[in-house]
Amino acid sequence: MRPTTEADLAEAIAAATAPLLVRGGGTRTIGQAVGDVLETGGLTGVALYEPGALTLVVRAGTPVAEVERVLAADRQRLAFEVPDLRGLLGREGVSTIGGVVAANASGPRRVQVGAARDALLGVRFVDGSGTVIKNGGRVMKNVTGYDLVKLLAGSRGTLGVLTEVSFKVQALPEAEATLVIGGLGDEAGLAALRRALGSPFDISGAARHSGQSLIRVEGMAGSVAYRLDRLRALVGGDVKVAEAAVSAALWRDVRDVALFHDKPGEVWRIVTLSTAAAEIAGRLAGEALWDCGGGLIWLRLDHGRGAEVAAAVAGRGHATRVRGDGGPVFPPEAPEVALLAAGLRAKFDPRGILNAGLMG
Amino acid sequence: MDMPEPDLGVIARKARIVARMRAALPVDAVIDAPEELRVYECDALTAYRCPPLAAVLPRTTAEVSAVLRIACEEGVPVVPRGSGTSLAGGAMPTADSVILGVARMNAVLETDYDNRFIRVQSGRTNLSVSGAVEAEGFFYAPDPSSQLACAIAGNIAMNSGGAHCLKYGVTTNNLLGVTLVKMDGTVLTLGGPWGEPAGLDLLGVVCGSEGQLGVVTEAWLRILPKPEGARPVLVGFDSNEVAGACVSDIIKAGILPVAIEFMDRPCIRATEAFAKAGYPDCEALLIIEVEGSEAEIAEQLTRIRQIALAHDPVEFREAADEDQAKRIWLGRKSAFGAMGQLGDYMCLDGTIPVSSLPHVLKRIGEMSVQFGLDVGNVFHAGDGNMHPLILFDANKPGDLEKCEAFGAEILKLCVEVGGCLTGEHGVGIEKRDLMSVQFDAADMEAQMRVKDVFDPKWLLNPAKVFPLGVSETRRAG
Amino acid sequence: MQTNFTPEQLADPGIARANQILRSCVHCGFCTATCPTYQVLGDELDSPRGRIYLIKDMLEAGRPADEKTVKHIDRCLSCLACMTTCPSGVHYMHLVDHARAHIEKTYRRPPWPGRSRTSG
Ligand SMILES: Cc1cc2nc3c(=O)[nH]c(=O)nc-3n(C[C@H](O)[C@H](O)[C@H](O)COP(=O)(O)OP(=O)(O)OC[C@H]3O[C@@H](n4cnc5c(N)ncnc54)[C@H](O)[C@@H]3O)c2cc1C
Ligand code: SF4
Ligand code: SF4
Repeated sequence: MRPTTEADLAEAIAAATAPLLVRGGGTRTIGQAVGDVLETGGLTGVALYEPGALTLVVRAGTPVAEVERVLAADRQRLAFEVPDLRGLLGREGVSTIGGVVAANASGPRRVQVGAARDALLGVRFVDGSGTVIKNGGRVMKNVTGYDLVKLLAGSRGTLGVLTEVSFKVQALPEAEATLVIGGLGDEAGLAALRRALGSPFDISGAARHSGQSLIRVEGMAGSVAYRLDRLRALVGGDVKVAEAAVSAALWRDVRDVALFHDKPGEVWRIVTLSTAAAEIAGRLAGEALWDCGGGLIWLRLDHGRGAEVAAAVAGRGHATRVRGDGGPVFPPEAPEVALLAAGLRAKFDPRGILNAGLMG
Repeated sequence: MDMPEPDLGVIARKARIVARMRAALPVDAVIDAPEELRVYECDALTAYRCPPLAAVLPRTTAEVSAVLRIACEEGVPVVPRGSGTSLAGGAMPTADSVILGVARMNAVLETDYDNRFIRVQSGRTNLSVSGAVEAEGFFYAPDPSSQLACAIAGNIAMNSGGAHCLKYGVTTNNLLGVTLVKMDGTVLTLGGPWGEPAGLDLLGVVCGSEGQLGVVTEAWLRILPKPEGARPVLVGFDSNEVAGACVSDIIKAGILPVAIEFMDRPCIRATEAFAKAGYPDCEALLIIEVEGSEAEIAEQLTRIRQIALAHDPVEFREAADEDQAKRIWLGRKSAFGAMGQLGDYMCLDGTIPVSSLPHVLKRIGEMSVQFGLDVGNVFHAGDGNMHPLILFDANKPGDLEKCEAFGAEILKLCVEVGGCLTGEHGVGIEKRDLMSVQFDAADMEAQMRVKDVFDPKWLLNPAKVFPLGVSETRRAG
Repeated sequence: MQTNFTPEQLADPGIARANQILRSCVHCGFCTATCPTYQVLGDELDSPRGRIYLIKDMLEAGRPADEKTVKHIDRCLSCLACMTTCPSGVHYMHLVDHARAHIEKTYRRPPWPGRSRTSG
């Protein structure tokens, strides 16, 4: 099924008699669900774009590339840096903006501006009974009623199928540059990232891989130059500067986890505390890419080490298996939290037909 | 303003309910004398009042859990309260309800500068969170104007914003996790210091749920390094349209000030009379604040000056020093107090798309004449969050009703132009009956389902947010 | 905030002044943040806003002071931190002085042992 209007989508869900597998472009789905494929790619187009108010309203099936093109024409962008995970996950297809929201995707700029949820102003979606629901809106500050916008972000199609999403967008900065710090071990390299993040220099990226720590600043040209200088003094070590396109390429690789493309094994996405990050990666002895100052570890391991990962992370965050087979994909939740999540799913999708079993 | 009929059965059982709570809490934690309960009959929205059945002031999560378990068993509604600064009546009780105040829970539990978070008990005031990390050069970003007094608990319940949220976001963008006690007494943790949910973003929906899903007792908050410096400029204009266009041009140019505040003429005049900040007497005034080092501030201000001067302002005033910066902010910060000198006021906070600003201000001016009540506007212009302050005389019969009707028309207008009823104060009881202007039945049903899951008996702050008719069957059940 | 005094009550200049002060309080609660007794006790009855409310209640009703009201007013240190903080210029000092005079006139304090019990 590939409806082209919200009404048709609602009708399709209401009429469904068997489970549905909700799919944008299928480029970032993780976990298993079965059912008749319901594609959102037919719901496309920009509904409203007001650059002077930093507002974009777009239908959920619109390709991410199209959204980025529209914004770039007015020198704007989505602040949270949408990762392209096709290379990592070995997928093809056209990534949709609805899928980005459903996965609450984020890139390296999460340290500064948060994830998709933090830029999301409003949603329209169809719940499991085929009812169209709206929440939030198109304005930047809105506390009218409960924030289902946040609840839907990251719900991976299990509470409803998104039909329209609105964002607060961001102006493209005039300049960007990255400090590339070599010669430090992982512990010291992550500590350097923390020092930078604890400084007033408004870091928009802090990552580490292949023996190098990367620290990004963006903004007006004079300001970028000033902050680079100050940061260089702060972090010490063997420091080089990458500017403009070179810097952008470095961060595209971090964002898309390019390090693991074409390499075998499981890939885990571990959300943790920066101060625990070197130890966790060290203990599991895989290949690591640290983003968000160490608060996020992308870890490549041999297959079948889920239990060890869970034990290493326990009490210090959580781990999701984004690639590889066997064992649970999402981390278990505390029983009383799982009960609430199950309760919400039962309310929003009483027949249990939307991506059933995907998240637990 | 209608409130549900109190449950007479509960009121009849008051002695027993109070005795059970007394047995579970320290002696000084339960208040039930009528003369002492009056203080808890309203929050900062004094137009609506009703003393509660009792008030309890626990000190720990375990005590909160004990109170809620008893209340749940006895079928007593509970109204959580932080500092009682809500402008929406969020903390206003009903005659059959128990006020659960968290003001005594104000400890700092953990600070971690390496991982940049602080964990506090929820009764701690917003400003004192920043105070606790200031010496290390950090701050907590959301800064409601009430930050001196309001509690993190209330901030989370209302998803409060502040003048600087243009850059730093509102509460939900700075909240990492909470300890939450459900109405049945269950204690749970949502989120954590690492700040990204593993499954559904339950924390995201608890934030802004106005004390209807659970009682927040502890919170992990993100702290940020303080910027090197900050400086405001003041720009006066002869027309609202031009001021609006200037805001839009600044944003389009890719400059991100931390705050853009807007005041209209009535508000400028009131603050001048009260605070004497030396503002120009003009139609519209912008205060724009930028942050960074000296050089960075200069770089941004040069750009802002270029843009502003192109709009032919009546005044462009830069702050040469700290003292002048304070004076620029003085009037804005005194605006509420100043309007309060002119009479009682009702403060609305609808949000509009920034492009509708001139139209909306013009319509508000017309309505002001029509209703015969004065109104002044202060406005977070960067994000379209308005604060019309309608002046009335609370001691004059009929004036409050007139004011309410005027307020409702303004909020309907906000929704009509693509905005919303409330940008940061919450729905509470004040905007409850207007919810159906913004949402249709299915939209509200979806929200109420969330409450069904967290609080199936609908005992937590039940008379708020949803129009009474809409929530009736659930509250009865 | 709204007050409920009769014209007869307002004919008394003391009440008229108290009314004026009460009318200027917007009940914002800012003053609670700097009040030392509220900082320690965490009960709004022991905050300036709470005391203002107790006083309003007592004066409006025109009734003699009761033990509980007296307890919370007695706890006020008269440090006037609340007045410095108040953004609306509420003259708390006049109000509490007026209340204390009313208490002296209408309230019979129990002998010492009793008093220390009620104010403890
Ligand atoms: C002069 C003035 C200026 C203001 N400026 C701003 C502003 O700039 N931005 C802004 O956003 N707001 C502003 N406010 C509104 C108000 O300060 C905020 O809504 C604030 O967050 C309320 O906090 P509080 O602790 O006083 O909460 P309360 O008023 O006590 O309660 C508010 C809500 O929170 C719930 N609640 C309280 N404690 C808990 C808990 N532990 N668990 C669950 N729910 C709980 C209550 O039930 C109620 O619904 C202003 C208010 C005033 C008086
Ligand atoms: S700060 Fe002033 S106006 Fe606000 S409650 Fe206290 S006395 Fe009243
Ligand atoms: S004068 Fe009394 S009410 Fe005011 S701050 Fe001091 S102790 Fe508190």
